Amino acid sequence: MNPDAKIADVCLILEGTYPYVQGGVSSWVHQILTELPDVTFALFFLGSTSDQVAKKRYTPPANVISLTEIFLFEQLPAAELAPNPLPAAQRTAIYAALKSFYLAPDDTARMAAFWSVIDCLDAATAAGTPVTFGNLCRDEEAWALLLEVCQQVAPDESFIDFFWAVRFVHLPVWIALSSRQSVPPARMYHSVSTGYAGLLGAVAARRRRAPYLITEHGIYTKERIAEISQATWIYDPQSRYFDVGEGMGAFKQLWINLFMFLGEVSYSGAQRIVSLFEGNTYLQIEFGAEARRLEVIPNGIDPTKFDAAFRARTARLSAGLGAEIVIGFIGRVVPIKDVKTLIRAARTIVGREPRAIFHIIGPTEEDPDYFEECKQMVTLMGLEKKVLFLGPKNVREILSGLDVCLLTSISEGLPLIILEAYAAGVPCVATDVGACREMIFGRTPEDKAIGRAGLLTKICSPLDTADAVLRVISSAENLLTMGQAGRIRAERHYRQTEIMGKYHAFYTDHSWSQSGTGILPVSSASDSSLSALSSQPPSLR
Amino acid sequence: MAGIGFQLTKLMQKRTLAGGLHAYGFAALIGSGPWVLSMVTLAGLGLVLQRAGTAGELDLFFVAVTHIFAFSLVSTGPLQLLLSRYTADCVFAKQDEKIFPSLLGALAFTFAVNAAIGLVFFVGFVPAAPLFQLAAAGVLMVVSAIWIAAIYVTAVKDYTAVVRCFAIGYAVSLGAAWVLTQWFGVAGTMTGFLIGQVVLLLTMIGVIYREYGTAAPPSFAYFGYFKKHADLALCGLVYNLGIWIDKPLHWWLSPHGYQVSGALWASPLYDQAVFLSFLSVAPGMAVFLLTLETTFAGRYAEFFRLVVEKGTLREILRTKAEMVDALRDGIMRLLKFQGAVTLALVLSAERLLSALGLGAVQTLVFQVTLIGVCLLVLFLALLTVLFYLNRLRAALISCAVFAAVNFLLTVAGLLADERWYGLGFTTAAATGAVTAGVLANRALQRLEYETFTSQPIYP
Repeated sequence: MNPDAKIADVCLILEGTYPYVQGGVSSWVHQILTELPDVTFALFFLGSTSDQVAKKRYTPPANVISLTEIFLFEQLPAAELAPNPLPAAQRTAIYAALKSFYLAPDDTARMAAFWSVIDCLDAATAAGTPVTFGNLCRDEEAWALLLEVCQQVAPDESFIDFFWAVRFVHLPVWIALSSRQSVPPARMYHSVSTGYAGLLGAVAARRRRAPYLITEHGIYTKERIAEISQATWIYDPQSRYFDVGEGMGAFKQLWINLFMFLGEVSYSGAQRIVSLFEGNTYLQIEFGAEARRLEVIPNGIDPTKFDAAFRARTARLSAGLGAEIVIGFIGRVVPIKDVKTLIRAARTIVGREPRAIFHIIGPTEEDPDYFEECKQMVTLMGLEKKVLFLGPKNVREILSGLDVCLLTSISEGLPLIILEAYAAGVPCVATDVGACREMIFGRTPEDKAIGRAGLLTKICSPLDTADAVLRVISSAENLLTMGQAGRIRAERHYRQTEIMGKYHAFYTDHSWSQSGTGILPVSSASDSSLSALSSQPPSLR
Repeated sequence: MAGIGFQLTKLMQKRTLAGGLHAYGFAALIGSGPWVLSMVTLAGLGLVLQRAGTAGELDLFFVAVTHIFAFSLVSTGPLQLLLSRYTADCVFAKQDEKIFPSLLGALAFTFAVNAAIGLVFFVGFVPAAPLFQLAAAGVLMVVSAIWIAAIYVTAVKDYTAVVRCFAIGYAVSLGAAWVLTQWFGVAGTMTGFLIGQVVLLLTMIGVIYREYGTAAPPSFAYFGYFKKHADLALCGLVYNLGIWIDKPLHWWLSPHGYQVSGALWASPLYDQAVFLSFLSVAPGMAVFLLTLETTFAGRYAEFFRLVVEKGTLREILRTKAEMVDALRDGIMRLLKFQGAVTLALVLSAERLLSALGLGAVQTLVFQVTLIGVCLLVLFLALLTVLFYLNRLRAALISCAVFAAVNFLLTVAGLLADERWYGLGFTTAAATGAVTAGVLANRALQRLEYETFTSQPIYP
């Protein structure tokens, strides 16, 4: 279908993921690449340092026609460190644009200034005197601007820390921006996150006047902010003279503002912004995405692969509850999955339903201390015979033996294990995080009409968890009905082929880039997020 | 999850300003110290020895010592500034044990170079008694070594010990010269002077040894600085050339110049007046040093303390403003004081010089060069500021301007007549002062800009 083999149908912009880093996003990308063989892809990988790419974790299929890599935390080449003698007119234009960017009165003005900065940089490159990072470090106009910004945003902070923080905040952005020319030409751009990848996606799509699509698995901006607020490395608390607490705030704010702004640029440049579940669309709106550009496309599964498990389980339960009622936990034994709450709930459940038995299935070596604590809890509560740590198993094989699947996670995106459990007809009891609510109760009216495929619990609540599990396992009939609902939900709303079809449509028919989605996921929840916007710190202020 | 946020951690390890900001400015002043001392010595020797020998022999001695000072200052000029920097770096890096071996290395190097110059010049080109020739070569070696040792004595910061050394050394010089002149004539004068200088050198090394002494062998690690700080070495050379260049021009080109003996030339008309006006340098320098040490240096150190120890922008800029004020204040005070001294001397020049038996032309040269010395003090003060601010290139440019103007205008003055004598030097000092002033002003204005923006992104 591609008349010009040199220009890819899609340029995928990947930050710290496929094909070099293993994980959920990477396997999702690999799935898209392999299941859409008629679409050609150019991959643009943004990594931290080149040692990261020593080994490819995935082998891209044949429809990937190129792989370009840049590294945001590599040393700049010498040519970038020396200032270029810029012609006076260009110099004036660039620093005027930069000034209106940093001292912009509001977000709209800042966004406009950002694009005029990009245009000035392009003009300088075209004129043969590209602006270098050395210019930004050494030009007197840059210094004057730095002082002005410092007086505005950090007049009471340690200046040397401000100076270095500003340099380091800009360094990776600069590396990303200066690679804008090497983003391969493509009929459309698709970044699998916001952040630096989103920035580059927006810039490249604008350059080529091509459509730009974002798919976010997690909410990048939110995750960066959480990371930064916990970080201890941003401020060196050696100060003898100044209040450490305050300083911490100002320098963290620089980084937070950066990521907020990268998010805004990404969202404003993309004609369509996809998230995995509805909860995340509210966050995207909060971080600056326009509601009419949003769309929810969950992860998918091929339920037919679980047909055998589904049939076996249905047959087993049709004969009534067995001598054991198996409650399965499938996942890594780590704090974020909150296995301890599961163990506490187990005691209550076993007290009321002696047939209950717990299978903890999944790797235990990631956090050995936590695993050890869990085992001690089990021993202390005398549950050695009831809570069994089985280690990693083949999920498709063990699912038919489970009566219910339990998730106690503190945080989740769209957990694949729920889809797998559904495909095998296993109902789920899960905490009310990530996509769990819409996966268990349904998202759209048609989806809700299918019925509940399990129950939701509060996080960190053993009582609530025990109560929910006991209700679900109260009868074989209940287990069967809920399991059926899950299977139907997976088939109708999470079907792999359908989801791939949606992306195939994105890639081959660009009409989406002309209009809004028509699906406006604006509910009361998003209204409140919108009103929360005003309390957000204005980016880069 | 996609994203590379965690990688930021690696970049944000503790960063401060990359070295090189420690003050070493004072050591640079040594560059002016030695020739003040050398002038004082010459004048003193002149008075004491006037009756000891015949006029011709006295001339030979003085002219030889003048050459020795010129040779030694020009030949050690580059090394003096480099060693100032080297010792300051050692002290800053808390590597005091490197200091004494480097002194031994520097002395060995200086001895070797000046032994060669001295033997070739005095034995080869000055017809005199062998004792005189050898003693003169010896004095060249020892005086050069003294300039080197003076750098290290400054590092000890025991100024009373320095004064004591020089007092003992010159007392012995004068005494021994006076005694030996009776027996051996001018060769005795030179030998006596040599003995005194050797005593001076030894007492200086003693002072340094008490502070930094080690049993380690001589080290030549400072040679690396010739490459690393070529500006500094050149500055030392050009500055000393600039100070001396007008003298040989007068010896060779002036109708008053004459050949004393072999390669030794003199032009008493010019030399005596200029050496006398150089004596007026001391008060201005002392006042400026005092201001510099009490106010400017304090503000300067505070500026960098604030920069490194997390001061706010407001505090940093305020301290810089105070620093500029202190400097302006110091320069004003220097000009007032040196100006008053100069004015008094210019007005009383006629009476003063006739008392010393000098004539009208010399009085005119004396008056003109007095003003020149006043400007030279200003020039030196501004050079010191440039050294403080680590603007070596600017210091080098100022010195080069000074030397070039001194050379060109001295030649021009010699082609005209006596009324123009000394104006070359005075104009050169003025040009040097203006150049250094403009550059120091610019460096001060851009101090925070340069301090920060010159920091390399990658250490």
